[in-house]
Amino acid sequence: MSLLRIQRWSGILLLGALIGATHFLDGKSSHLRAELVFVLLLTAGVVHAVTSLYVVGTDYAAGKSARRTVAGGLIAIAAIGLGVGARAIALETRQADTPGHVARARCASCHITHPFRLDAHPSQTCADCHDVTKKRPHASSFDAPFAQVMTTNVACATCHREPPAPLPSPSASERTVAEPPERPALRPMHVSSVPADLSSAPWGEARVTKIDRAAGAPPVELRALSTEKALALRITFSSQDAHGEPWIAVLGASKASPSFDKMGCATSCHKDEKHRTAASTDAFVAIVAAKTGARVLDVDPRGMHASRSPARVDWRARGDGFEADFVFDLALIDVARGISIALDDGGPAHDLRARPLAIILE
Amino acid sequence: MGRDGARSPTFGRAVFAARRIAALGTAVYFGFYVAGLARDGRRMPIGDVARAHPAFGMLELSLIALVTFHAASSLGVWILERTRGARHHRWAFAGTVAVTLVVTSVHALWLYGPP
Repeated sequence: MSLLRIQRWSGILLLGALIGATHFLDGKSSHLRAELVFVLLLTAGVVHAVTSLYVVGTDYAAGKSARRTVAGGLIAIAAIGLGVGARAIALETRQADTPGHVARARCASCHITHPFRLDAHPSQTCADCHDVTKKRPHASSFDAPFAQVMTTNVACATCHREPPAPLPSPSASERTVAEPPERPALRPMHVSSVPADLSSAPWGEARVTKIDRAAGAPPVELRALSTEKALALRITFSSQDAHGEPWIAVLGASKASPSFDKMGCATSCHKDEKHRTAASTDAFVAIVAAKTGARVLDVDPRGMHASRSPARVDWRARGDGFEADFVFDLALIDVARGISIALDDGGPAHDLRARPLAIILE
Repeated sequence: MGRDGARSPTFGRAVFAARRIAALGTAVYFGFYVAGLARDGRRMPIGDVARAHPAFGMLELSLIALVTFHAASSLGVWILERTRGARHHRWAFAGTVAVTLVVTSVHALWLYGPP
C-alpha cells in the first residue's frame, strides 16, 4: 500500500470517526463502542497528520524504494497512537469519585464522556447547572433551596431527579477534604441607610470580625452594616509580612456554592493559573487590591465589567495596608450562602483559600 | 493541476494553499488535543465548551469549517482524479465552498439557535 493511499484512507477514517463520535455517541453507547471510536479517531488522526506532513515536507512521490521505510514508520506511528489512546482511556477510567460529590456515573448521561460529544441540551447553558464556584454538583446541593432549582431545570433534572444515595462514611483523610471549614459569622449592624460617602458610615459602632492570616501577620478585620436592601462591608488589611503583592477578593455567590465554600478559589476557577477569569459564572467577585496602589477590579459573570457587581467599592491606603469599603445589593446575592473572602499573600495559586462568612442578619 | 490548472495557475495554487492552510489549522488543534491527552487524559473540548461563552462557540465553528473545507476539498480532488475530470476543478472548488458553508451554518444554528 503506497503512502498516498494510506494518507487518503486514514483521512477518510478520521472523518468517519469524527462524525461518529460527534453525532452518534452518547452516554448510552456501550463502553466498547465508545473506546473503539475513540481509538480509531486518535489513530487515524495521528497517521493522517504524520503522513500528510511527510508528503508535504518531502514532496513525496510514490515509488518502490520508499515504500518499505514508510510502511515501517507508519506501523510505529499507529502503535503510538493506539498507546496514547489506551492510556487516555485508562486515565479517564481511573479517576475516582470526589468525596461529597455525586458519582461520576450519574453525570455521564448528560456530559462529555467521549471525544467530540455534543451536549444533549442545546437550549441549556453550562451556567444552568454550574456556576463559577461549583464545577461539579455537590451532594449537599440536593438540600433546599437548591433542590428547587434542580427539579425545575430540565438539564439538572435529567441527572438529579432522584435523591442521592447515602454517602459512605469518609475516612479521616477524606473528611478533612470533604467537610467545609468552620465558617466565621459576620453580624452586620443594622442601620437605616448606607451613606453615599462610605467613609462617613458608622463603622466604629459595628462589630469586628477577624480572619487569621499567616503566622505573624495581623488578621484582616471586617465590619459590616446592613439595611433592608444592602450590605456594606469594610475590610482592613495590613500588608505586613506579606511575601509579595497581597490581594483580597470578596465574592458573593448568586447561587449555592458549596464547592467554593469547601475548597476556595483553587478548586473552581484558579486551579491552573492564578488570575484566570471564568467565562461562565454567576457570582460576583468584587475586588482585587494591592499594597502598592489602588488596583480595584469589579468582575461580573461575563468578565471584567462592573454591570452586575456590587454597587460600589471604595479603596484607600492606610498605613502599610489598605482599607476597602463595599456595598452589596442583597437582591443579587444568596445571603443564605454568605459571602466568601479569599486572601492571598503572594503564594502560589493552589494556596488560595476562601473564608466563607455566614451572614447573620438580625 | 491538470489542464484547468494550466490555464489558471493562480487559481489552482490558491485552492491548493487554502487546503493546506485548513489542514495546518486543524493539525495544530489536533496537536493540542493529543498533548492534552498525554498530559492528563482530558477529552476533546468540543460541544459543552461552546455553550460556556460565545467566543468558544466561534472557535468551535471555525474548527468545523476548517475540517469541512479540508475534507471536502481533498475528496473533491480525489474524485476528479478517479474520474479523470481534471477540467472541473473550478466546480469542485465551488462545491467545497458550498459544503463548508452549509455544514458550518447548520452547526451555527444548532449552537446558537435561529437568528
